[in-house]
Amino acid sequence: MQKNTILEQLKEEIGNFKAENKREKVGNVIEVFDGVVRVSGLSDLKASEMVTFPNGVQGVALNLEEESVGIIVLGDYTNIREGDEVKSTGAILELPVGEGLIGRVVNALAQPIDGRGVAQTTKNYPIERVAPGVITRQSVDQPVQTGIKAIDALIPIGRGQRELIIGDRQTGKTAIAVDTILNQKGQDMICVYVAIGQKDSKVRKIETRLREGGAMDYTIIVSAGASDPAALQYIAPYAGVSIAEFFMDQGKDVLIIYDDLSKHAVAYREISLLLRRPPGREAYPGDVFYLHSRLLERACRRNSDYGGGSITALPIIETQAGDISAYIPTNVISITDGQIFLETDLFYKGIRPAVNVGNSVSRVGSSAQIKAMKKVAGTLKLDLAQFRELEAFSQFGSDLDEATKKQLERGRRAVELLKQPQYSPVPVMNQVISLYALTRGLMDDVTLDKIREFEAGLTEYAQSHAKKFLAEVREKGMWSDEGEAEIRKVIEEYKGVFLK
Amino acid sequence: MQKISPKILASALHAATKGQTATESAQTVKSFVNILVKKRMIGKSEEVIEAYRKLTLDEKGIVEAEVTTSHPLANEAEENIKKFIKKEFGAKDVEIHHKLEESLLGGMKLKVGDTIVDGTLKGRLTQLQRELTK
Repeated sequence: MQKNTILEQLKEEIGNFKAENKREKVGNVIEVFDGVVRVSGLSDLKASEMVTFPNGVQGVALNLEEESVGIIVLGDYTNIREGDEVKSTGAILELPVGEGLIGRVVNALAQPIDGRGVAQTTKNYPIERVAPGVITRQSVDQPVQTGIKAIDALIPIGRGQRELIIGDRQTGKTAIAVDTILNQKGQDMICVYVAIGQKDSKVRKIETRLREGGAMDYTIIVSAGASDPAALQYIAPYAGVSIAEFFMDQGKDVLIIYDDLSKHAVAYREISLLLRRPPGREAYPGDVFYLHSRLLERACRRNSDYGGGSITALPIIETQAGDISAYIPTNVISITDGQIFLETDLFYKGIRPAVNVGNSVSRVGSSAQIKAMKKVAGTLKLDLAQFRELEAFSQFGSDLDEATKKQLERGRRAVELLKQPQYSPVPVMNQVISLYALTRGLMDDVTLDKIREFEAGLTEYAQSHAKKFLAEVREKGMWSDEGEAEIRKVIEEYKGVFLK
Repeated sequence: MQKISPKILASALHAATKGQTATESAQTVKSFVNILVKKRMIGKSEEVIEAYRKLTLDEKGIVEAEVTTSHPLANEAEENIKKFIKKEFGAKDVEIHHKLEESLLGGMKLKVGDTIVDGTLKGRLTQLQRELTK
């Protein structure tokens, strides 16, 4: 019975099928390099047009020359032979996008690689798209809560901002990104994590971690692993931002993380050199700046006349031995709206996240900070900077006046308070309470080694004793005199219990 | 120094020999070959000859077509193909190169320059396969 219906369906489909004798443009493979082929013919090919190889693998035309075209192969290039017929498709490279991608791990062509079956997609989006223009944009004025105290208080990030995370290997760059995704639960944000040239084991680890934290309900992972061809690593971030644009076009806020753009630049360098483009500084091609600027320019906040929505980008750059004046780091620093600078020294001193507050900036984020946070964290950055200077100075002598001693003590407490273990984002209202206690001197009589204990206890105590204040901050982000009085009372009450 | 492509060389030679008598053009070709040797480009001579041939064909409005079929072509079929190409590609005359390839199963494949018209059974089956597995 069922067999018959299937047969009928097949018959019908075959009956409906009409073959057409299409005119197609073809060329022949002349040379095959690693992931790059040179093809003769294909005279009417457009730049970045898609082509297909005999075994169904796709390619994209990158170099159009007099006698031949340079094509990058998006997939397995080991079966391509000299003389193979290459067909042009007339289409620009596109990706299937849709709600069905949420919770999935996909490759650079948006094909699922997590073994969870087909992803339901609704539309096709081109991989390369011109960034939204001037009139469609709006200034950044809403915060992205990363849940990391040091960042939310000192280097605030706004929706639509591009904030670089930069540091040596093993300084916790990915940790910051993952924590930020974890903290977006219930914040009305779609997250896209683009892994470029990462170990597949690391991607798997992140996926597992996000799934445990319930973050895969709003997250998509785009992965072009270390063993994937350079061509896929090159298009992965563009694929990621195309997926992000799909959600932005529905008026949603999207957070996209590129982990990391140094490897992206390396993949692009490989392709460029194989295509015989002239090498420049550090052997990168001349357009490596444009490579990243056109990618990051697609992060934006659109005004409501043009559908609203935003894309916040957190690119990651890995430096070698703290050298931020290398080619790619300086490029990306100049493109982004600020950077979070992570340092090995701080990391091994136990200051984690190892954010160097002095070198980190956020050029647009402060206007996106909520009022309450602005109120309590306003002077924190300056205090910390002064503390650094005093600390260095005070190492030479022990005769310090009372005021200096006090400032040093306060600074040490601030550093202690900004420490935070991995995978434990702090909601913004709790951050406000602890920072209030710190900046108003209410923690001065708590000993240094007890600070974190005090903070944890205070947070818990406030959950049940300062409900009104917490609700006010959570919902309106506001700061009122009554609220301040309430929280001050709560902190002092708790301190009474704690110090006893 | 930038490399000179065989195409440019061929068109230069073509322009130089235009309107010359047989003896004159023989002399021109000789000095042309001398230049190639001097510029160490004599290795490219085959490509130059090929480019030159294409150039002369172009000038006369002759189109080269590659016809691949699974079975030998009948005479009238060849005439029909020629007619078709003349109409479709605006050619004055057609030079047909015929190839046999049994794996095509039936029908024929036509290749003119970069353009391919695939009317083979094999091509249609692949199309059907793509349609069904979509």
